[in-house]
Amino acid sequence: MAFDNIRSFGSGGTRTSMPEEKLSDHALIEATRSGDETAFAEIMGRYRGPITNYLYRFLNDYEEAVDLAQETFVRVYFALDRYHTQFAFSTYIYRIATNLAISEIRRRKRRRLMSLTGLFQNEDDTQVEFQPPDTRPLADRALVDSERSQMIGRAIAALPEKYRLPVILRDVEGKSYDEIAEIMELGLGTTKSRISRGRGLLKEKLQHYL
Amino acid sequence: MGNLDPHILEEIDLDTADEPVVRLLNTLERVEPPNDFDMRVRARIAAGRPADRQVSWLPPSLRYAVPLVLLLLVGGYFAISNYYSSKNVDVPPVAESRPPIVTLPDDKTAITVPEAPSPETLAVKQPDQSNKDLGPPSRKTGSSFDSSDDRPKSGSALGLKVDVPIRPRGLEGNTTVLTNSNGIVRSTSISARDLFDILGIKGTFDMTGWKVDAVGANTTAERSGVKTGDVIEAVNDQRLTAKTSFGSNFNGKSLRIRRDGRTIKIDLVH
Repeated sequence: MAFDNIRSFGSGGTRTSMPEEKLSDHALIEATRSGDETAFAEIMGRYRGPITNYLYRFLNDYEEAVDLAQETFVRVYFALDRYHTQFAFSTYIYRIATNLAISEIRRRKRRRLMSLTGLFQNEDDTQVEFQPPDTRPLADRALVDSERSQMIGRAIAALPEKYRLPVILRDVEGKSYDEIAEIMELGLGTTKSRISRGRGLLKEKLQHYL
Repeated sequence: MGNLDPHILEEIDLDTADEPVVRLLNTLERVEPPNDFDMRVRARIAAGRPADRQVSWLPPSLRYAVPLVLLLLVGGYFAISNYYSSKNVDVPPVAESRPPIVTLPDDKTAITVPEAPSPETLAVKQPDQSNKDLGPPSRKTGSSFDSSDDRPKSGSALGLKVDVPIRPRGLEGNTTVLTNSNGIVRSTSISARDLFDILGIKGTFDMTGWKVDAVGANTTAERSGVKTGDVIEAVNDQRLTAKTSFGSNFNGKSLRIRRDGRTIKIDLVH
Protein backbone atom coordinates (compact mmCIF):
# COMPACT_ATOMS: atom_id res chain seq x y z
CA MET A 1 0.00 0.00 0.00
CA ALA A 2 1.15 3.48 -0.62
CA PHE A 3 0.68 4.19 3.04
CA ASP A 4 3.54 1.80 3.84
CA ASN A 5 5.96 4.16 2.16
CA ILE A 6 5.22 6.72 4.83
CA ARG A 7 6.12 4.30 7.59
CA SER A 8 9.33 3.04 6.14
CA PHE A 9 12.23 5.23 5.32
CA GLY A 10 15.77 4.49 4.41
CA SER A 11 18.89 6.52 4.75
CA GLY A 12 17.68 9.39 2.63
CA GLY A 13 16.96 7.41 -0.49
CA THR A 14 14.97 8.47 -3.49
CA ARG A 15 11.45 9.60 -3.12
CA THR A 16 9.04 9.86 -5.98
CA SER A 17 5.47 11.05 -6.18
CA MET A 18 2.76 8.46 -5.78
CA PRO A 19 -0.24 9.30 -7.91
CA GLU A 20 -2.13 6.28 -6.71
CA GLU A 21 -1.74 7.41 -3.17
CA LYS A 22 -3.01 10.86 -3.99
CA LEU A 23 -5.86 9.48 -6.00
CA SER A 24 -6.79 7.14 -3.24
CA ASP A 25 -6.76 9.92 -0.67
CA HIS A 26 -8.86 12.12 -2.85
CA ALA A 27 -11.27 9.34 -3.53
CA LEU A 28 -11.57 8.75 0.17
CA ILE A 29 -12.21 12.41 0.76
CA GLU A 30 -14.90 12.48 -1.87
CA ALA A 31 -16.48 9.44 -0.30
CA THR A 32 -16.39 11.07 3.11
CA ARG A 33 -18.09 14.13 1.70
CA SER A 34 -20.79 11.87 0.43
CA GLY A 35 -21.30 10.57 3.95
CA ASP A 36 -19.17 7.48 3.87
CA GLU A 37 -17.81 7.17 7.41
CA THR A 38 -15.64 4.18 6.58
CA ALA A 39 -13.78 6.31 4.07
CA PHE A 40 -12.89 8.75 6.80
CA ALA A 41 -11.89 5.87 9.03
CA GLU A 42 -9.54 4.75 6.29
CA ILE A 43 -8.09 8.24 6.17
CA MET A 44 -7.51 8.09 9.89
CA GLY A 45 -5.96 4.68 9.60
CA ARG A 46 -3.48 5.94 7.08
CA TYR A 47 -2.43 9.11 8.78
CA ARG A 48 -2.97 8.78 12.53
CA GLY A 49 0.40 7.13 13.06
CA PRO A 50 2.50 9.53 10.99
CA ILE A 51 0.67 12.57 12.29
CA THR A 52 1.00 11.44 15.90
CA ASN A 53 4.65 10.61 15.44
CA TYR A 54 5.28 13.92 13.69
CA LEU A 55 3.61 15.90 16.44
CA TYR A 56 5.36 13.88 19.13
CA ARG A 57 8.76 14.62 17.64
CA PHE A 58 7.87 18.28 17.41
CA LEU A 59 6.37 18.74 20.85
CA ASN A 60 8.27 16.01 22.69
CA ASP A 61 5.09 15.37 24.64
CA TYR A 62 3.05 12.29 23.89
CA GLU A 63 -0.17 13.43 25.54
CA GLU A 64 -0.14 16.70 23.72
CA ALA A 65 0.81 15.03 20.47
CA VAL A 66 -2.14 12.64 20.65
CA ASP A 67 -4.48 15.47 21.53
CA LEU A 68 -3.34 17.61 18.64
CA ALA A 69 -3.41 14.65 16.26
CA GLN A 70 -7.04 14.05 17.14
CA GLU A 71 -7.72 17.75 16.72
CA THR A 72 -6.11 17.56 13.30
CA PHE A 73 -8.52 14.93 12.10
CA VAL A 74 -11.48 16.78 13.59
CA ARG A 75 -10.49 19.87 11.67
CA VAL A 76 -9.99 17.87 8.50
CA TYR A 77 -13.47 16.46 8.89
CA PHE A 78 -15.15 19.80 9.38
CA ALA A 79 -13.16 21.40 6.59
CA LEU A 80 -13.88 18.77 3.97
CA ASP A 81 -15.99 21.19 1.98
CA ARG A 82 -13.09 23.60 1.73
CA TYR A 83 -10.50 21.01 0.74
CA HIS A 84 -9.22 21.41 -2.79
CA THR A 85 -7.40 18.80 -4.71
CA GLN A 86 -4.65 21.14 -5.87
CA PHE A 87 -2.52 19.85 -3.04
CA ALA A 88 -1.86 16.32 -2.04
CA PHE A 89 -3.96 15.32 0.92
CA SER A 90 -0.86 14.47 2.91
CA THR A 91 0.35 18.02 2.38
CA TYR A 92 -3.02 19.30 3.52
CA ILE A 93 -3.21 17.24 6.69
CA TYR A 94 0.41 17.87 7.62
CA ARG A 95 -0.14 21.58 7.20
CA ILE A 96 -3.07 21.50 9.59
CA ALA A 97 -1.03 19.50 12.08
CA THR A 98 1.89 21.93 11.71
CA ASN A 99 -0.28 24.95 12.37
CA LEU A 100 -1.76 23.33 15.44
CA ALA A 101 1.70 22.47 16.71
CA ILE A 102 2.95 26.01 16.19
CA SER A 103 -0.08 27.41 18.00
CA GLU A 104 0.58 25.06 20.87
CA ILE A 105 4.21 26.15 21.09
CA ARG A 106 3.18 29.80 21.22
CA ARG A 107 0.55 29.06 23.80
CA ARG A 108 3.21 27.40 25.93
CA LYS A 109 5.39 30.48 25.63
CA ARG A 110 2.58 32.76 26.78
CA ARG A 111 1.86 30.50 29.72
CA ARG A 112 5.52 30.48 30.62
CA LEU A 113 5.64 34.28 30.46
CA MET A 114 2.63 34.61 32.69
CA SER A 115 4.05 32.23 35.23
CA LEU A 116 7.34 34.16 35.23
CA THR A 117 5.58 37.45 35.93
CA GLY A 118 3.70 35.80 38.73
CA LEU A 119 0.74 38.03 38.02
CA PHE A 120 -1.63 35.76 36.29
CA GLN A 121 -2.75 32.25 36.77
CA ASN A 122 -3.74 29.84 34.07
CA GLU A 123 -7.31 30.33 33.04
CA ASP A 124 -8.47 27.07 34.53
CA ASP A 125 -6.42 27.77 37.63
CA THR A 126 -4.10 24.81 37.24
CA GLN A 127 -0.34 24.85 37.32
CA VAL A 128 0.68 25.52 33.80
CA GLU A 129 4.07 23.87 33.96
CA PHE A 130 2.94 20.54 35.35
CA GLN A 131 3.13 17.68 32.93
CA PRO A 132 1.19 14.67 34.21
CA PRO A 133 3.07 11.41 33.72
CA ASP A 134 2.01 9.25 30.84
CA THR A 135 0.76 6.07 32.42
CA ARG A 136 -0.63 4.57 29.25
CA PRO A 137 1.74 2.08 27.61
CA LEU A 138 3.07 3.05 24.22
CA ALA A 139 3.19 0.42 21.54
CA ASP A 140 6.93 0.77 21.17
CA ARG A 141 7.70 2.25 24.51
CA ALA A 142 10.49 -0.20 25.27
CA LEU A 143 12.37 1.00 22.23
CA VAL A 144 11.57 4.63 22.82
CA ASP A 145 12.97 4.43 26.35
CA SER A 146 16.51 3.99 25.14
CA GLU A 147 18.73 6.82 26.24
CA ARG A 148 19.86 7.72 22.78
CA SER A 149 16.34 8.14 21.53
CA GLN A 150 15.57 10.37 24.43
CA MET A 151 18.62 12.49 23.84
CA ILE A 152 17.85 12.80 20.16
CA GLY A 153 14.29 13.65 20.96
CA ARG A 154 15.39 16.35 23.35
CA ALA A 155 17.86 17.71 20.87
CA ILE A 156 15.15 17.95 18.24
CA ALA A 157 12.77 19.59 20.68
CA ALA A 158 15.45 22.13 21.51
CA LEU A 159 15.73 23.26 17.90
CA PRO A 160 14.11 26.53 16.94
CA GLU A 161 10.68 26.01 15.54
CA LYS A 162 11.58 27.04 12.02
CA TYR A 163 14.32 24.40 11.83
CA ARG A 164 12.63 21.70 13.84
CA LEU A 165 9.62 21.34 11.56
CA PRO A 166 11.43 20.78 8.26
CA VAL A 167 14.01 18.49 9.84
CA ILE A 168 11.32 16.26 11.30
CA LEU A 169 9.35 16.24 8.07
CA ARG A 170 12.45 15.32 6.10
CA ASP A 171 14.46 13.03 8.32
CA VAL A 172 11.72 11.51 10.48
CA GLU A 173 8.70 11.50 8.23
CA GLY A 174 10.61 11.09 5.00
CA LYS A 175 8.88 13.85 3.10
CA SER A 176 10.37 15.27 -0.04
CA TYR A 177 11.77 18.79 -0.13
CA ASP A 178 8.98 19.89 -2.41
CA GLU A 179 6.31 18.54 -0.14
CA ILE A 180 7.96 20.08 2.89
CA ALA A 181 8.02 23.42 1.09
CA GLU A 182 4.30 23.08 0.38
CA ILE A 183 3.47 22.06 3.92
CA MET A 184 5.39 24.96 5.40
CA GLU A 185 4.42 27.33 2.60
CA LEU A 186 8.01 28.26 1.97
CA GLY A 187 10.23 28.45 -1.04
CA LEU A 188 12.25 25.40 -1.93
CA GLY A 189 15.55 27.15 -1.33
CA THR A 190 14.43 28.34 2.07
CA THR A 191 13.26 24.89 2.96
CA LYS A 192 16.56 23.33 2.04
CA SER A 193 18.57 25.93 3.87
CA ARG A 194 16.49 25.49 7.00
CA ILE A 195 16.88 21.75 6.88
CA SER A 196 20.59 22.13 6.45
CA ARG A 197 20.82 24.59 9.27
CA GLY A 198 18.68 22.40 11.54
CA ARG A 199 20.86 19.40 10.85
CA GLY A 200 23.91 21.49 11.61
CA LEU A 201 22.50 22.45 14.99
CA LEU A 202 21.65 18.83 15.74
CA LYS A 203 25.14 17.84 14.80
CA GLU A 204 26.50 20.23 17.40
CA LYS A 205 24.14 18.92 20.05
CA LEU A 206 24.62 15.22 19.25
CA GLN A 207 28.35 15.15 18.71
CA HIS A 208 28.63 12.40 21.27
CA TYR A 209 26.38 10.11 19.30
CA LEU A 210 27.72 10.74 15.84
CA MET B 1 22.18 7.44 -10.29
CA GLY B 2 22.89 9.09 -13.66
CA ASN B 3 19.31 8.56 -14.80
CA LEU B 4 17.88 10.35 -11.83
CA ASP B 5 16.31 13.75 -12.06
CA PRO B 6 18.89 16.46 -11.31
CA HIS B 7 16.53 17.85 -8.77
CA ILE B 8 16.55 14.59 -6.89
CA LEU B 9 20.28 14.32 -7.30
CA GLU B 10 20.60 17.64 -5.54
CA GLU B 11 18.50 16.33 -2.71
CA ILE B 12 20.69 13.31 -2.41
CA ASP B 13 23.76 15.49 -2.27
CA LEU B 14 22.25 17.50 0.54
CA ASP B 15 21.43 14.39 2.48
CA THR B 16 24.82 12.96 1.84
CA ALA B 17 26.47 16.01 3.26
CA ASP B 18 24.52 15.60 6.47
CA GLU B 19 24.54 11.82 6.42
CA PRO B 20 25.67 11.29 10.02
CA VAL B 21 22.83 13.35 11.40
CA VAL B 22 20.31 11.89 8.98
CA ARG B 23 21.39 8.40 9.93
CA LEU B 24 21.03 9.24 13.60
CA LEU B 25 17.54 10.61 13.13
CA ASN B 26 16.59 7.54 11.19
CA THR B 27 17.27 5.45 14.27
CA LEU B 28 14.39 7.06 16.10
CA GLU B 29 11.60 4.68 16.73
CA ARG B 30 8.16 5.70 15.79
CA VAL B 31 5.43 6.21 18.33
CA GLU B 32 1.93 5.00 17.68
CA PRO B 33 -1.34 6.55 18.74
CA PRO B 34 -3.39 4.87 21.44
CA ASN B 35 -5.96 2.28 20.56
CA ASP B 36 -8.88 4.55 21.26
CA PHE B 37 -7.64 7.23 18.92
CA ASP B 38 -10.36 6.80 16.34
CA MET B 39 -13.06 6.64 18.96
CA ARG B 40 -11.91 9.88 20.51
CA VAL B 41 -11.84 11.58 17.15
CA ARG B 42 -15.39 10.47 16.45
CA ALA B 43 -16.44 11.68 19.88
CA ARG B 44 -14.98 15.07 19.18
CA ILE B 45 -16.67 15.22 15.79
CA ALA B 46 -19.96 14.28 17.36
CA ALA B 47 -19.52 17.06 19.93
CA GLY B 48 -19.50 19.66 17.19
CA ARG B 49 -17.10 21.95 15.39
CA PRO B 50 -13.67 22.23 16.91
CA ALA B 51 -13.32 25.12 19.30
CA ASP B 52 -10.40 27.37 18.64
CA ARG B 53 -7.73 27.11 21.30
CA GLN B 54 -7.61 30.85 21.34
CA VAL B 55 -11.17 31.70 22.34
CA SER B 56 -10.87 35.43 22.22
CA TRP B 57 -9.47 37.46 19.42
CA LEU B 58 -7.13 38.78 22.01
CA PRO B 59 -4.42 36.54 23.40
CA PRO B 60 -4.85 35.81 27.08
CA SER B 61 -2.03 38.08 28.13
CA LEU B 62 -3.62 41.05 26.41
CA ARG B 63 -7.00 40.32 27.93
CA TYR B 64 -5.45 41.04 31.30
CA ALA B 65 -2.81 43.53 30.22
CA VAL B 66 -5.10 45.93 28.34
CA PRO B 67 -7.39 46.69 31.29
CA LEU B 68 -4.40 46.97 33.58
CA VAL B 69 -2.69 49.45 31.28
CA LEU B 70 -5.88 51.48 30.99
CA LEU B 71 -6.19 51.54 34.75
CA LEU B 72 -2.62 52.76 35.14
CA LEU B 73 -3.15 55.48 32.54
CA VAL B 74 -6.32 56.77 34.17
CA GLY B 75 -4.85 56.61 37.65
CA GLY B 76 -1.67 58.29 36.49
CA TYR B 77 -3.64 61.08 34.86
CA PHE B 78 -5.54 61.84 38.04
CA ALA B 79 -2.43 61.61 40.18
CA ILE B 80 -0.52 64.02 37.97
CA SER B 81 -3.38 66.49 37.73
CA ASN B 82 -3.81 66.46 41.51
CA TYR B 83 -0.10 66.98 41.98
CA TYR B 84 0.04 70.02 39.74
CA SER B 85 -3.15 71.51 41.13
CA SER B 86 -1.77 71.24 44.67
CA LYS B 87 1.39 72.99 43.57
CA ASN B 88 -0.62 75.98 42.36
CA VAL B 89 -2.24 76.42 45.76
CA ASP B 90 0.96 77.93 47.11
CA VAL B 91 1.07 80.57 44.44
CA PRO B 92 -0.14 83.84 45.96
CA PRO B 93 -2.94 85.63 44.17
CA VAL B 94 -1.95 88.47 41.91
CA ALA B 95 -2.36 91.82 43.64
CA GLU B 96 -5.14 93.80 42.09
CA SER B 97 -4.43 97.14 43.70
CA ARG B 98 -2.14 99.64 42.11
CA PRO B 99 0.56 101.61 43.87
CA PRO B 100 -0.43 105.10 44.90
CA ILE B 101 0.35 108.01 42.63
CA VAL B 102 1.78 110.98 44.37
CA THR B 103 1.91 114.35 42.61
CA LEU B 104 4.90 116.61 43.06
CA PRO B 105 4.73 120.40 43.65
CA ASP B 106 5.17 121.52 40.05
CA ASP B 107 6.37 120.41 36.71
CA LYS B 108 9.58 122.35 37.04
CA THR B 109 10.72 120.36 39.98
CA ALA B 110 13.58 118.14 38.99
CA ILE B 111 13.18 114.76 40.38
CA THR B 112 15.93 112.23 40.29
CA VAL B 113 14.36 108.90 39.81
CA PRO B 114 15.95 105.52 39.39
CA GLU B 115 16.76 104.54 35.85
CA ALA B 116 14.56 101.51 35.94
CA PRO B 117 11.49 102.30 37.97
CA SER B 118 9.34 99.37 38.90
CA PRO B 119 5.72 99.28 37.78
CA GLU B 120 4.82 100.00 41.38
CA THR B 121 6.10 103.53 40.85
CA LEU B 122 2.82 104.21 39.14
CA ALA B 123 1.22 105.07 42.46
CA VAL B 124 -2.48 105.58 42.91
CA LYS B 125 -3.52 108.66 44.85
CA GLN B 126 -5.21 107.88 48.13
CA PRO B 127 -8.74 109.14 48.70
CA ASP B 128 -9.41 111.72 51.34
CA GLN B 129 -11.08 109.56 53.89
CA SER B 130 -12.59 112.51 55.66
CA ASN B 131 -14.41 113.42 52.51
CA LYS B 132 -17.22 111.14 51.56
CA ASP B 133 -17.13 112.26 47.97
CA LEU B 134 -14.59 109.93 46.49
CA GLY B 135 -14.22 111.67 43.21
CA PRO B 136 -11.05 111.69 41.15
CA PRO B 137 -8.25 113.54 42.84
CA SER B 138 -7.89 117.16 41.82
CA ARG B 139 -4.72 118.73 40.64
CA LYS B 140 -3.40 121.31 43.02
CA THR B 141 -0.87 123.99 42.39
CA GLY B 142 1.55 125.67 44.66
CA SER B 143 3.86 124.15 47.08
CA SER B 144 3.07 120.90 48.53
CA PHE B 145 4.32 119.08 51.52
CA ASP B 146 2.63 121.81 53.46
CA SER B 147 2.30 120.67 56.97
CA SER B 148 -0.63 122.98 57.44
CA ASP B 149 -2.61 121.02 54.93
CA ASP B 150 -5.77 120.01 56.63
CA ARG B 151 -5.95 116.79 54.80
CA PRO B 152 -5.66 114.05 57.31
CA LYS B 153 -2.31 112.42 57.10
CA SER B 154 -3.77 109.05 57.80
CA GLY B 155 -5.80 109.25 54.67
CA SER B 156 -3.05 110.27 52.31
CA ALA B 157 -0.37 108.22 50.80
CA LEU B 158 2.75 108.66 52.90
CA GLY B 159 1.18 111.81 54.41
CA LEU B 160 2.23 113.75 51.35
CA LYS B 161 0.29 116.28 49.34
CA VAL B 162 1.77 116.81 45.98
CA ASP B 163 0.35 118.20 42.80
CA VAL B 164 2.55 116.88 40.01
CA PRO B 165 1.97 113.23 39.31
CA ILE B 166 4.94 110.94 39.08
CA ARG B 167 4.70 109.16 35.85
CA PRO B 168 6.68 106.28 34.40
CA ARG B 169 9.33 107.23 31.91
CA GLY B 170 7.89 108.00 28.52
CA LEU B 171 4.47 109.20 29.59
CA GLU B 172 3.44 112.81 28.83
CA GLY B 173 2.27 115.43 31.27
CA ASN B 174 -1.37 115.11 30.45
CA THR B 175 -1.48 111.43 31.10
CA THR B 176 -4.56 110.42 32.99
CA VAL B 177 -4.05 109.24 36.50
CA LEU B 178 -5.14 105.72 36.84
CA THR B 179 -8.28 105.27 38.84
CA ASN B 180 -11.21 102.95 38.54
CA SER B 181 -14.51 103.95 37.02
CA ASN B 182 -15.79 105.43 40.28
CA GLY B 183 -12.68 107.53 40.69
CA ILE B 184 -11.69 105.50 43.71
CA VAL B 185 -8.00 104.99 43.81
CA ARG B 186 -6.80 101.71 45.01
CA SER B 187 -4.08 101.36 47.59
CA THR B 188 -1.25 98.89 47.90
CA SER B 189 2.11 98.56 49.59
CA ILE B 190 5.20 100.24 48.23
CA SER B 191 8.79 99.22 48.39
CA ALA B 192 11.56 101.11 50.12
CA ARG B 193 13.02 102.05 46.77
CA ASP B 194 9.72 103.59 45.69
CA LEU B 195 9.48 105.45 48.96
CA PHE B 196 12.89 106.94 48.40
CA ASP B 197 11.89 107.88 44.88
CA ILE B 198 9.00 109.80 46.32
CA LEU B 199 11.24 111.49 48.88
CA GLY B 200 13.68 112.40 46.18
CA ILE B 201 16.38 109.92 47.03
CA LYS B 202 18.27 107.72 44.65
CA GLY B 203 19.72 104.88 46.63
CA THR B 204 21.07 101.39 46.52
CA PHE B 205 20.98 98.83 49.26
CA ASP B 206 24.19 97.56 50.72
CA MET B 207 24.61 95.21 53.63
CA THR B 208 23.77 97.78 56.31
CA GLY B 209 21.16 99.98 54.75
CA TRP B 210 20.17 102.13 51.79
CA LYS B 211 23.07 104.23 50.62
CA VAL B 212 22.08 107.61 49.21
CA ASP B 213 23.60 108.02 45.78
CA ALA B 214 21.84 111.28 44.92
CA VAL B 215 19.35 113.71 46.39
CA GLY B 216 16.89 115.53 44.19
CA ALA B 217 16.73 119.25 44.30
CA ASN B 218 13.79 120.80 46.09
CA THR B 219 12.61 117.46 47.39
CA THR B 220 11.58 116.28 50.78
CA ALA B 221 14.94 114.61 51.20
CA GLU B 222 16.82 117.82 50.43
CA ARG B 223 14.67 119.88 52.70
CA SER B 224 15.07 117.32 55.45
CA GLY B 225 18.85 117.41 55.19
CA VAL B 226 19.61 114.11 53.59
CA LYS B 227 22.99 114.14 51.90
CA THR B 228 24.70 112.02 49.31
CA GLY B 229 26.68 109.30 50.99
CA ASP B 230 24.29 108.91 53.88
CA VAL B 231 23.19 105.39 54.68
CA ILE B 232 19.55 105.21 55.62
CA GLU B 233 19.17 102.47 58.18
CA ALA B 234 15.55 102.92 59.22
CA VAL B 235 12.40 104.80 58.45
CA ASN B 236 10.20 105.70 61.41
CA ASP B 237 12.58 103.47 63.41
CA GLN B 238 11.70 100.55 61.18
CA ARG B 239 14.90 98.78 60.16
CA LEU B 240 15.30 98.63 56.43
CA THR B 241 16.25 95.66 54.30
CA ALA B 242 16.48 95.26 50.55
CA LYS B 243 12.92 94.02 50.47
CA THR B 244 11.30 96.31 53.03
CA SER B 245 7.88 97.54 51.97
CA PHE B 246 5.39 99.90 53.47
CA GLY B 247 1.66 99.99 53.57
CA SER B 248 -0.30 102.38 51.48
CA ASN B 249 -1.17 104.45 54.52
CA PHE B 250 2.42 104.80 55.57
CA ASN B 251 3.35 108.23 56.87
CA GLY B 252 7.06 108.82 56.78
CA LYS B 253 8.18 110.94 59.68
CA SER B 254 11.83 110.33 60.28
CA LEU B 255 14.91 108.67 58.93
CA ARG B 256 17.73 107.10 60.88
CA ILE B 257 20.90 107.82 59.00
CA ARG B 258 24.50 106.83 59.45
CA ARG B 259 26.88 109.58 58.41
CA ASP B 260 30.60 109.68 58.87
CA GLY B 261 30.44 106.89 61.35
CA ARG B 262 27.77 108.55 63.43
CA THR B 263 24.09 107.66 63.61
CA ILE B 264 21.68 110.58 63.41
CA LYS B 265 17.95 110.93 63.18
CA ILE B 266 16.37 113.28 60.65
CA ASP B 267 12.79 114.41 60.75
CA LEU B 268 11.25 114.58 57.34
CA VAL B 269 10.23 118.04 56.25
CA HIS B 270 7.33 117.51 53.88
